Amino acid sequence: MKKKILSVLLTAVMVFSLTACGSSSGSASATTGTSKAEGASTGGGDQTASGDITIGVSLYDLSNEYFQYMLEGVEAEAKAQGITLSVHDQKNDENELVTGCANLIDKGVDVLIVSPCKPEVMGNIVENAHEKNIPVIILDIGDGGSDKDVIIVSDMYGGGQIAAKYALDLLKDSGAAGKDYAIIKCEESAVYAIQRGQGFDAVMSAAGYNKATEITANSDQTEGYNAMQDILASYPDIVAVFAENDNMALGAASAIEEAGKVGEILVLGFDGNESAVEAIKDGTMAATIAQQPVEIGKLGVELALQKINGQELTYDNNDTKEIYADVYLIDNTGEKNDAYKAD
Amino acid sequence: MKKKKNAIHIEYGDYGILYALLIFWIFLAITNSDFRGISFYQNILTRASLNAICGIGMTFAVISGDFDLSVASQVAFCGVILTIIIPIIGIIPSILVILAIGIAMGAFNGLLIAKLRIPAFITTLAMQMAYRALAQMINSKPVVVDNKLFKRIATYKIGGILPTAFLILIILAVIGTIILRKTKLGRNILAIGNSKEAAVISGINVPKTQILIFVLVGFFTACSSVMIVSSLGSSNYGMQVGLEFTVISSVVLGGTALAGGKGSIFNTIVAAVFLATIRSAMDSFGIDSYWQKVVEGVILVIAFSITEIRNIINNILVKQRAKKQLVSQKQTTN
Repeated sequence: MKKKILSVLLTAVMVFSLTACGSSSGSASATTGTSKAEGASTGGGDQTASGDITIGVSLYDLSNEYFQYMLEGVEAEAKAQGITLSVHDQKNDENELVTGCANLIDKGVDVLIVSPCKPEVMGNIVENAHEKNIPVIILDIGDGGSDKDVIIVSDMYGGGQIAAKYALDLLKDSGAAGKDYAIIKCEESAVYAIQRGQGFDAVMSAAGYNKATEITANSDQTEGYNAMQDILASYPDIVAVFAENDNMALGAASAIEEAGKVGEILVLGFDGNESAVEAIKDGTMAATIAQQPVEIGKLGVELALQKINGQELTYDNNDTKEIYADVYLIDNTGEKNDAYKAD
Repeated sequence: MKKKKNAIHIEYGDYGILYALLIFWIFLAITNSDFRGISFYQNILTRASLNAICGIGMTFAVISGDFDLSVASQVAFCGVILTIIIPIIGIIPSILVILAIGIAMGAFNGLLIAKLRIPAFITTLAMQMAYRALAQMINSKPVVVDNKLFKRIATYKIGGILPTAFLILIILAVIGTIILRKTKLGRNILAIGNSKEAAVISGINVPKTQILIFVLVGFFTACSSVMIVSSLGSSNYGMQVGLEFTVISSVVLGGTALAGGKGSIFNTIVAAVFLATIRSAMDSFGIDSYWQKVVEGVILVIAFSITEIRNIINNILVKQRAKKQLVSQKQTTN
């Protein structure tokens, strides 16, 4: 009798927490106002789809807006193609990444699409998937040196080029006399992010500008601020600074604001974060380059289908099996600007 | 010295969390087809084993009334070194070196706590930062392990059924339980947890015992590190951030009181499996990721208040028993 009471109490707590959450997931997505939050709710894998293809999707962290957009793209394309999805949220936890992918592989999905929170873990996952002849498609972040089938990344180098072309036009309009610019770089291990600066550099130096310096600021806003202060002290005559992500660009912008040089030095960022767009509208930043997670998600499902149908994939870079997703410029009005393209 | 057992213990032998887990598994198997295959449970057990091994050591610390916040950083420190030395000196020597490092880190923590009398909370919080910074100094880039045999340690399934990680967990848990229940050290740890003053009066060498407690934590954390690196197939100085909370939650959810004095390694393991099940199950139930975090928070609150919840249930049971006795007494007098 009493045994029952205790077990009921214990299970009631858990069952309550589960059902309570299940029923209120709809309202949660409504309150976030983005409608992307309901993404994870399709994760049951029991959807009624016309095709009998199931794709396993494991994403970095679904409470992060960027990956909600990515999932939105995956879901839209899967729906259009009649594909069943099985969605897994890594919650930015490497153990969860391993377990979740193992579950998807054991479930026998036809393709595994992963946006890994820790790329270096992908080696094991790809091996396990390939043992069961499951192709692995990586979205963004990095492949950790694994033998994946394809990785889709934003065109980082091209994004840097777009930023530089826009900067050149702005400089021409303002008639600035100086020819020096600086780059604030992400950490060395962010292999894709550091291509942004390379693209920027290539276009600027081809136009006769001179790179005064480049400083690593570990993708961090405070470090970006410190880096910019150092740059201002040593190279007061620079006309533009390109930061490889928006956090560092925002840090740099505040350093420039403090030095009273707003308008004299162009600040360009990368990522298209909301806070960066705000800064552009305030006039402290000149532009940023936005990535397209929705497109990356869609492309992932398209490639998965090609892989299932036995088609050969056409890579943008055959050695690294990379396919590039387009990026676009957010100009000094804070709006998308399609006039600038990568080479 | 025979302690008066409480009502819950008499009724359920402290297996509440085990019952909860079994009921939860049955519930999952009934409601969702994802949970009917053996592979789901294999993956859960493997995943839980990685944390639970560390939980064995943490159980000793919590029983003594302390805890160790530096375990996640210890795992990262050991992990970074492990991936560097495996290609150089081979698997078994590497594991031995890592275990030695774990013991040394634990002993250092213990020395600071016992001899310099810095509270464990402060010491291990400081060491949490220090060990991770050291790991970063050794290697700031992720390293992938290129040794198939090593990667099998945590991922192989004996006969296709029993995950090796879980087998290793059980072996270590048996060792841990023997230390806790059958040795003088185990009795001393329980005594310190019950009352430090009483332990001192009864002639227990408290500082020495405290150092040994953290040595145990360090040893089991190092074991855990080996398993985690094997399962991930890589290491990174930023790995396993937040592990200490997962581990401490499974210890307290397993019924070991944060105030110390009692606890069970077996229940810690069951609780770790329980937590791993919840984490893996939520996606399949279509719970969106914000709510998943809410659930995890609620579980943490439950875990940390479980002793009080138990006391409340216990009081209810005691009252009912008293009432029953009263009724039966009345009946006999009538």
